[in-house]
Amino acid sequence: MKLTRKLRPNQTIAIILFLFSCFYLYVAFQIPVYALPRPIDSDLFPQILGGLMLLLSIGLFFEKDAETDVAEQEKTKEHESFWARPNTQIVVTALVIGAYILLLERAGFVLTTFVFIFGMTRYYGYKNYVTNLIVAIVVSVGFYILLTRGLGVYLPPGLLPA
Amino acid sequence: MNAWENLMYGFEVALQPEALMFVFIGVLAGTVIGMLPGLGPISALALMIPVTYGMDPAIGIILMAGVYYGAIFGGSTSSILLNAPGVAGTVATSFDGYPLSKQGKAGKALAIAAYASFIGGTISVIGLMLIAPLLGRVAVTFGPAEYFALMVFGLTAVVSLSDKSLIKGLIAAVFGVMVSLVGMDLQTGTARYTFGSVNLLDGIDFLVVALGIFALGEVFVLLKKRTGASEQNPLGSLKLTRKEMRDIAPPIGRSSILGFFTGVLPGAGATIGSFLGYSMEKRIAKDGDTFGKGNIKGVAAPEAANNAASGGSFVPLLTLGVPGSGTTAILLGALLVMGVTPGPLMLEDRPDVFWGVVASMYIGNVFLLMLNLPLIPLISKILNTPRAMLLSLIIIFCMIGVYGLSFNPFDLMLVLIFGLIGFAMRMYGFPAAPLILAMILGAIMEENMRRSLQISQGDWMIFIDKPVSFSLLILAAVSLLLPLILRFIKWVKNR
Repeated sequence: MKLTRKLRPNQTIAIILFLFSCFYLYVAFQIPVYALPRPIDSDLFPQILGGLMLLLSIGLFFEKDAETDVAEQEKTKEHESFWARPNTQIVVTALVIGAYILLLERAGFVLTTFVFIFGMTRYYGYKNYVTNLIVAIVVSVGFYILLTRGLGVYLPPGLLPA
Repeated sequence: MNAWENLMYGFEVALQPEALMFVFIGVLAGTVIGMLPGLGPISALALMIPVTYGMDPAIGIILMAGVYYGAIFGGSTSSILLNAPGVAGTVATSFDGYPLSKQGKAGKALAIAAYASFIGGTISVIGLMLIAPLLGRVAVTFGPAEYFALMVFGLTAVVSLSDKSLIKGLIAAVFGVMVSLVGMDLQTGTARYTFGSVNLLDGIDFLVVALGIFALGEVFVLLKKRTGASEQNPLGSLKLTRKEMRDIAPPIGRSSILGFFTGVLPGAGATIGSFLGYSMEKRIAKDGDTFGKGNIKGVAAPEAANNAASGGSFVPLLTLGVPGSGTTAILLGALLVMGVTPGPLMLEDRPDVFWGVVASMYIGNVFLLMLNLPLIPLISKILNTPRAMLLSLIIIFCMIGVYGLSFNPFDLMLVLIFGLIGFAMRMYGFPAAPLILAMILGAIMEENMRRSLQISQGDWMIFIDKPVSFSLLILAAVSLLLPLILRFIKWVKNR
């Protein structure tokens, strides 16, 4: 923990990239050789890229952090709830998108999209329930009809009748 | 056919009722998306690509050209009204546009922006018409070694001209090429970096990366920065006086020509063009000291340069098949998806697409002037859309765009992953344009490198022996070293 606290953001990213490029190079050297001998095989370009990334990560480790680089500190407002903080909102958004993807084919497009728009708009702080409800219904049902009936694109009906 | 006849043929394509309708839709959608704070032409193009699937390529690219122009104008609108430029290309517009807006002259500033964009766009279309066939003739003689060198130069130019760190730009570019290599190697059929997943065998679709980095990533940035609704100034009258017209005419003319040539250069594009146009006019103008306080020339010059540069950036894209910026890289991706490979042969193989695009760029400009300007009071209401609703809708558009194409939830997960990568890149100062450009060029670069080495039986000297590829590689090295040399000179001077 102490080590990570001493590292500048650029250095932390450099270490991650260094490890990534080592792994990338390892996989590059595992790429099977093509049966017919060729002057250049599938593994050469990835090996060059892995080597370049390795060198660049070392370069980044020694690069100074520009002032604008470091993620802006969030302006925490007084009495702000945990759920309204930007970092919490980002994590919740990513998790909810993950849930949306998992449920899309099971529960269906209309249902998941409606719940997503209504729920997330409310979560981001929009308080007008009626407008929110109308937009969520119009977008989810409207897109479903437009894409499936109008453009012939398949969208999963899920729990609702197709 | 000569250039004039070709252009007339292009107009025939672009003036079909279907094409006209899509130019209008593109311009309108582009303006609306480009106007939203945080979203610029790249996001607008990425969000609109799914709409073009299944379309005739000529019509599809006409739609995209409309979106591109509309988004640039939309960006100028939010620069002028809110002092919130969606993209770097319209930052210079806000220097004088926003002060004008605070003086209650936002309508005037928007009208100047529209006129300047129109003239800048027109001049760039003329330039494109004249230069593209010439460049296309030279490009026909290019072999794989020259193409490889050209792509290396295109990438290094974009990296070195991005306003961020050189190392970070290079990391973004290398990462982009790495992403493009995932999947089955088309020459040998070997699976690379698929880790046994069937979903990755076809590679990672560029739309997944584009929507992830430029649309979903922006949503996370907006959440982090708490970007909310800003105070909007009243529009005021859209009319210009004769004197104002006379005042802005010379700056528009000069900046249009400057902007076009800046746009042709790889990596330079709209941002540098608009800043160059602005600073040139500030130096030339007798009332240069009023720049930054609401001088109308300060809006006219960057807007003309900005739009002319956007037209100029089509030259390398359409003639060489090598995009010079992140935005044109997205356009290239869209073309490839539609089955059109831009390059020197496109002029012969698909003249309808080439000249259709040139003509539709012009028609897009006319639409901007005739329809968008009067509609601005109405369109600007979009800026009142609650931020909360906007964010959820952008996320859903990304999901629909990708699912409607691949019908695979795995790709949606990739969008999420690239969204988080895009967010991290923005937060830690990694430019995103080299990534998307490298992702588009990566596979073609590798193919050309391997073909060259196969021709030379594995001899790397092929890249040096050919004068064109050697010169391009030297240019690539210079473009990378130049910022370092300049920094070194500055350091010596300071000591």
